[in-house]
Amino acid sequence: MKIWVIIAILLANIILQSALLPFLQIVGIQPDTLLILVTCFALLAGSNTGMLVGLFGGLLQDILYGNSIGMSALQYMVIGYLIGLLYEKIFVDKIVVPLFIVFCGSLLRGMMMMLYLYFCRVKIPSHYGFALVILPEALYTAVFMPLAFYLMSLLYQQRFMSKRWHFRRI
Amino acid sequence: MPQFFKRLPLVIVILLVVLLIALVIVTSGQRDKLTTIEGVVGEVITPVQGFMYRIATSVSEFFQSIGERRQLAEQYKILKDRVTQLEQQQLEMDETVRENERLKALLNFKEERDQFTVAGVRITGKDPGNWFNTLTIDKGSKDGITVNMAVVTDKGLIGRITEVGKNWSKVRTIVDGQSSVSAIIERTRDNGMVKGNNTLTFEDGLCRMINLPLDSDVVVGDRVITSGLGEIFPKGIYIGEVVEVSSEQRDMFKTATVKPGADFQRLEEVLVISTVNE
Repeated sequence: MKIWVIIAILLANIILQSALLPFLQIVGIQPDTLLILVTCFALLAGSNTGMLVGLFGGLLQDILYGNSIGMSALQYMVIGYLIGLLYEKIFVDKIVVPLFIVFCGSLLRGMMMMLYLYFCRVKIPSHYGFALVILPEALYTAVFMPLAFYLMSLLYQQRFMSKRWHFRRI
Repeated sequence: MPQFFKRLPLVIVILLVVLLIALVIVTSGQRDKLTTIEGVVGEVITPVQGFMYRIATSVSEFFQSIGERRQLAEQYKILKDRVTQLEQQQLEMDETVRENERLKALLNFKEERDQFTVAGVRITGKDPGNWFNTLTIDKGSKDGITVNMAVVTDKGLIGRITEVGKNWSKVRTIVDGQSSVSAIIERTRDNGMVKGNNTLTFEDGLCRMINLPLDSDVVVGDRVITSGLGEIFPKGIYIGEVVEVSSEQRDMFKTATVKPGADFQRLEEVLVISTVNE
């Protein structure tokens, strides 16, 4: 049950993201909703879930739009795993902490993207990339975080979502 | 052993990271065909995506039309004047065209190969990130589309096909940072390269035309068209208009900022054309 819910959320996200969000752009920047989802899952269910959501959400994005398969999958997976490490270790309120974490996650992803573009030999002066894409994207993404986090925590109050993943010998 | 299983997630993460990096390296660069998985996922999602994209477009157009309605009366007057003016020009044009035809026949000019329209397609989605500028369209190899075909609208060049699936394809637009198109200034015939600029998002939707010769007298308002070099794009497709010219002393070339004729924010239907008439 849980896995189907997650798959449905990821599919809905990729469709919304490519069809609807271009119309919400501000100065050419749109929020990174997949990062919001990854952060929510990682904060509510730990690094295993965060990592898997990041991996498959990223792969889906790569397959449909990516220049090379695996790039966003890698970024979102690592971010999901790292954020998940905080699970049950810090106090997570409803607004400030998720907002701050998704902001940092977005900055981290921006830096990984700059690194990738550097290897692709796409020349962008780093301060331009930072001021014109990374920072605005992080801010815009953070704005949407409290609402998404609220909805996701409602979802996690359902019983079927609280079953744990198992990495165990059979 | 328990210690090991406690660490298992970390081990898996590291393994996956290595695997994904390998995958990135393998799949980066030019690919003509999509993998099977890519094809299947695309085939399933494309129709749904196309539907959503159409809904979103009509919603945003609705809000736009409210604003436009106010200026209608004013614009009507201006347009009427313009029509009279254009009719006059049309007459002169017709005359020139006829003269041109006569002269061409006289000189026994070989006609350039006709552009061949492959298909009219719908945009189904736009790359969700802020770093690249790619589109997906709803037709693919089934309709005769192949890699490197040019994508245009009546307002100008959009980009070229980079990957083809069975019923969908990816398009890299000319404003993408990784795109470059060989172009000429229509008036002065100066050659240059039009490169995407979308990574500097404040100028979103603008391109740079680089490698223009220093002695070129390109000015703001000049039209930029494709040169046909490289044989990806047919010759003479309108790209856009020069909005700024800059030349730095240390550079050996001039650079012009080009505003594409097509509106990349509101694309719905486009044409795929090919240089070769099959």
